[in-house]
Amino acid sequence: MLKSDPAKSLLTWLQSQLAASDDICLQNLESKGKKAQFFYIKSICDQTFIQDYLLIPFFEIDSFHDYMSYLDNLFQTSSYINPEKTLNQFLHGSVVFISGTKIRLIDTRKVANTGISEAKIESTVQGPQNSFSEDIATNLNMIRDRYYQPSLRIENQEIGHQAPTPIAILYDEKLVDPLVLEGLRQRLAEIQKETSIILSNGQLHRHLSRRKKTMFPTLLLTERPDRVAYNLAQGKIAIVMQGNAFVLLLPSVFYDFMASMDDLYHTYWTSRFVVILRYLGLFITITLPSLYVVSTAYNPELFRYQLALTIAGSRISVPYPAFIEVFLMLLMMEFLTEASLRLPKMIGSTATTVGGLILGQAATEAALVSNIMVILIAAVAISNFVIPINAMGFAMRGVKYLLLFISTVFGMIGFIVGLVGIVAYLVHLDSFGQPYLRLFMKSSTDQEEIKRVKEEKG
Amino acid sequence: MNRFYYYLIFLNMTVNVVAFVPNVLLQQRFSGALSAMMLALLVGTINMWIFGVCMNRFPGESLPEIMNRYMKPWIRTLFLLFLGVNWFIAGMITILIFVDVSKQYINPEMPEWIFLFIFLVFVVLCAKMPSIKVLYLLELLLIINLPLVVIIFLKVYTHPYFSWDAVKEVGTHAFSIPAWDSFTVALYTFAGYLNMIIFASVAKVQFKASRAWMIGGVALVNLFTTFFVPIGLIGSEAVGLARYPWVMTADTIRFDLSPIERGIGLFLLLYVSISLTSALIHWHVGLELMKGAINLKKYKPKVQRVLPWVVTLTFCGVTFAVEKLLFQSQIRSLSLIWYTIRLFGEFLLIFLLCYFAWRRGHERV
Repeated sequence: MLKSDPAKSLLTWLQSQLAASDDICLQNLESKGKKAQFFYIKSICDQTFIQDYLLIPFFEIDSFHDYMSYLDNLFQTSSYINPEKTLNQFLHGSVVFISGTKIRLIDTRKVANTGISEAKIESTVQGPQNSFSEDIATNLNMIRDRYYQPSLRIENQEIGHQAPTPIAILYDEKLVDPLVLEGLRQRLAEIQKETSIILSNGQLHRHLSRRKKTMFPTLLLTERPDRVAYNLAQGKIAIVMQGNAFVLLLPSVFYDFMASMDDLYHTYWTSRFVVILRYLGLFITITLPSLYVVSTAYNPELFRYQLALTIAGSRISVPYPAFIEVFLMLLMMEFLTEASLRLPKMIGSTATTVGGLILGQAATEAALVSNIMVILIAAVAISNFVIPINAMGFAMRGVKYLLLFISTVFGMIGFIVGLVGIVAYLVHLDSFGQPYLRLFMKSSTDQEEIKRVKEEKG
Repeated sequence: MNRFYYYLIFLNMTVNVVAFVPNVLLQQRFSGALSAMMLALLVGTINMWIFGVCMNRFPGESLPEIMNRYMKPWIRTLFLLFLGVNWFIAGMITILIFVDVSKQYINPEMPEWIFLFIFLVFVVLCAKMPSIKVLYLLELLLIINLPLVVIIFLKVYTHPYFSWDAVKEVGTHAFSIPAWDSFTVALYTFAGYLNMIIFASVAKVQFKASRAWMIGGVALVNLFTTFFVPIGLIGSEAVGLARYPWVMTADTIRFDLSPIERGIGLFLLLYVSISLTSALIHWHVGLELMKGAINLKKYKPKVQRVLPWVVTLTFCGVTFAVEKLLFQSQIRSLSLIWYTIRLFGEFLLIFLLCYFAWRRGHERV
């Protein structure tokens, strides 16, 4: 449509594509025989940059030829390819420069949220404190700054066919598993076709995993640059997205979700101890409610008789079966957790006080739940927070209800089968071809296997 | 990957501690069980060694693939179906025994079909996983359970009432003529290595013949423990009356300071997961053998998806029927017949493998 002379019709075409927004700006300039048009969106362009580096030189430089060569030497400048690309770049904050037959695109994008803040979700005690910002360039800078490797490769791409979001795929060319990379590219191409807009890495994660309805996260979202650098060094792939303070790491296995970066920064035995603590916490948070039901309703003889009697004595005034008791209290605990997550900080403390203190105290005094039950619920809630990656913590929150249900229906046998079943399900999962859970995993990508594949491919 | 070989053998040995094996052995404790065990130890180790050496000739290949080369299709199909059914029966016996144990010792009020239902759901769903995943699961569960096995071992051997005199008394019958039933069940404890006919395709590192003695040693300890510990703890006479001698033995253990006081609790927790794993491995191998028998890959994708379900659900139905129609004593005597059939199947399989290996050796020359 614009084949004859792109420069003339481009502007009209662009204007016809754009809604009549008030922040779209068209400047017609004329000085010393030079004529030019600047076309840009005020709200996402850096106005001082336009003023200092485009407009002022335009009036100061006498010859048009000199100005063009000045413009071409700005490293933000790129040349014109086709109208669609131009529109896209325009929407991402480029100034369209038109003069006569010459068209240039100058990237003057201004990002408001480049600020680097402290890590809030995966905080460490002794490690680096900063987390990613929401700007892709800043994030890439932070990663490059931690991973000085010539083999680090960055691929820029866009995702979503209606409103494309820039993403960058990072990997160490020497270490990466080519099969995983191939799989990722295929999936991304499929997503590109299927999905109109992708706003966050979490959404991308859901689209990337082949099973649409799953409980456990199979890709890791992290806000820590050091974790990304560490994982790149293990041959994983990282996906950085514009407007997102989280980076997607793949393939990710079960152990990655149980690891905190602090494990690397502490002394050996300290970190081992903390890791063991974590798995113990995981075990407790999943099993305790079901064990309570099993040992009160089905097999009190499992425990030594003093303990069995204490539990029974504490339950003596409770008017309903154990599973209702457990279920009610668990539900209250979940409500409390959810409430304190979503509420504004000022009200949050009220919720926890009302819920935790008054409810727990009053419920036992009114003999609606046993004392031991309250302790147990507290233990379950606290040990759930020991899991370092939130996504896994949330998944485990759900899993305990599954186990509770099976144990309630089938008793002790149900409990064991359920527990083994959960392990079996985790073993059965895949993350981009990597087995999700198995023993003796050195790093999540097997270097020997990669070497073999590379050799086969020649 | 070599380690999976040992896991499979170890799993089969451990799981048989609860099954009919100690029961049969202890019934014949005065009439040739001990000598049968010795004989089985010898034959089992040699079988395993031959099997390992033969399979080494076919790295990364499972039995259906090997047979594809050297056998007429119809014989191959028949033989593989026979093996597949055998493997399903092996898993079925384990499941049925554990239904009985659960009913007797864990929840006496619950009807049997509920236990059966939940066991079968687990086993069927897991048996469909890819072979390598099954091995990972096996490894994980074995290692998690290992501390419990060690604790129980330590507890029984350091038991204050362990009567070595009873052991010596039974030991005097070591030189009587070997009893057939004891021989078949004792040999069955070794049979874990036969699972490699399927898992060989994913567990690539080869069997080291020089390590056969190690497995033999573990087997010796296992058979000795299976046989003598109940005698030492229950008594050489009373032990013959027990249907599940080892559950009774576990009930003699007391943990003075732990929240779980009775050893039987720990023992049953351990054995539910171990026997489930064993059953799922048997059914997985059975399923894969059946798939190999009919060359499933030749069929349409839809058939490929449906057929495994049909096979496993049929066997679920059979298991339910057996549970419903037969008494435990009948199941026991039928299992004894099956142990004998299996024994001949094992020898036939090893003979065939030798033949294949010999053919293979000639091809190379």
